[in-house]
Amino acid sequence: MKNISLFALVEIALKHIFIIITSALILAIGTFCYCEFVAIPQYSATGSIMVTNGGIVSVDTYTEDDLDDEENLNNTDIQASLSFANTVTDILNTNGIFKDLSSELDGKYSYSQLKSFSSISRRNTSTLFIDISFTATSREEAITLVNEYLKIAPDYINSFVPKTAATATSTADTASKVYPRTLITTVIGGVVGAIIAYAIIFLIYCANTVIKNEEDFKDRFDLPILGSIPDFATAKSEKYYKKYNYNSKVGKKNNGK
Amino acid sequence: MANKTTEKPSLSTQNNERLVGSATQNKVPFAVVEAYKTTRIHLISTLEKINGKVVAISSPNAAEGKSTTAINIAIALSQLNKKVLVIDADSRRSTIHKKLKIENELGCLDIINGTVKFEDVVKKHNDCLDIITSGTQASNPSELFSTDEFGVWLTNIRDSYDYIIIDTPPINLVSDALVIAQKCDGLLLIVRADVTTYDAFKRTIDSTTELNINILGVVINGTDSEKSYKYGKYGRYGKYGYSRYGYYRYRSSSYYGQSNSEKK
Repeated sequence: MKNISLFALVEIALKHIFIIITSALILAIGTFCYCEFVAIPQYSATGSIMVTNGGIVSVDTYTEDDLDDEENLNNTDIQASLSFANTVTDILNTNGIFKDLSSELDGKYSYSQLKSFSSISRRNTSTLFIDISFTATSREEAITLVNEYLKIAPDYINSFVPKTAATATSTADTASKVYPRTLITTVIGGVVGAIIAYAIIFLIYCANTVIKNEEDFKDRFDLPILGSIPDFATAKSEKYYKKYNYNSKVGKKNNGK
Repeated sequence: MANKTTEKPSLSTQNNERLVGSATQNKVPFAVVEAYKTTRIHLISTLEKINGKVVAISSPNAAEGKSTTAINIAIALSQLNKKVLVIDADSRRSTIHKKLKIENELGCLDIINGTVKFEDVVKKHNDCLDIITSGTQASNPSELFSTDEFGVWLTNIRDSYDYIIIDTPPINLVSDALVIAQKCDGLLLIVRADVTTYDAFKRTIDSTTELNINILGVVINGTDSEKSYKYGKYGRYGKYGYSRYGYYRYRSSSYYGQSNSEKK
């Protein structure tokens, strides 16, 4: 394969800049239209649970005896809870809770569907918080799914690990659009359109090994074209020019014949 | 009263030599005739700038139409009542004598060899057009054209003609064309649309550049006439102040390629 300089690549792009820009615009507009009018939007709502191993007593379970106990909260309990949070996250990802949720929603979604809508994970390893997210086709639906889940989660966890202190720390009250991201998708569409157009142009350029016509020649060589002789077989005959009154009878009159 | 022999012929009695057809088509279409006339004008203009009259015509490879173009340009030039000499220097594959249906027993190689004189070999095709065919085939044409005899002979006949057109072999195949072009005022390259590759043409340019051969320009053969005329790509033609409309008003009584007797 022959070497092509970077300058030649840029020159090819500049010569066909109109085509490249048009292609980019077409794909960008197409992508935008798809995002706005075709794609089904997805919304995500998030809530959170805080869970401890019971060593850290929640506010709701405080008694006067607890308040006097100076050893109520210690590092061991915190570390144990942090480790325990991983287990709780796994518990919250089991099928059982989604089956319960499906029942709560009167079977609107199957447990497998609910599981596919969900995302349950620890916020980070140094926190007791577990984030619960659900994705749905409407904001209200996403919020409902999160909050229903948060309602049943503490009891579900306790069924596995009794005396666990699990509390919903924040419920979902808003949902954000996560799909499609119109702006970035449109930009990507435009870029892809430009790349595809350039790729096709480049392939045609590489495949074009013969001189096609004057314009083609002028693009490649800086030499004067003194003449362009049509193909003998396909060139227009005089009949073609007669309809424009460019025929031999004109000359006949001028010479008095 | 002006002497009849020196009186300039009127347009109606002007040299109406027919163009030669292509390898597959004898009849020359109207559009092709006009294209050759356009080429004629550009060639004349280019030669005037360098004060030249001897043109070598070649192409990158074979079968790209250089012999047909050479003879047709010569005919077109002779139509202006210019004295034109066509030399067929393509001894390996000479075709001009076939196109013009003349004999090829003796030609330019015989002149260079010294076996014959110019006057014995030149064939008068009409009042304005003389032909020297390739003649006896030689095993070393490149060496013959490299000799001083060829250069001297060319210099000697130069003043006898307004234009000398030399049909040479393809540049990428043999070295004859380069040797001949060095002794001419310029080289006219012929390429064929959809046949000549860019690589082949680039090799041709590289060869000529290394030898400081003056390239007068390029003629593209076999283009799509629909595009050529419909879109009026006269970019380079325009700078010579030539317009198709202006030419047609100037038409002579008989259009190119048809004699007066045929019209009757």
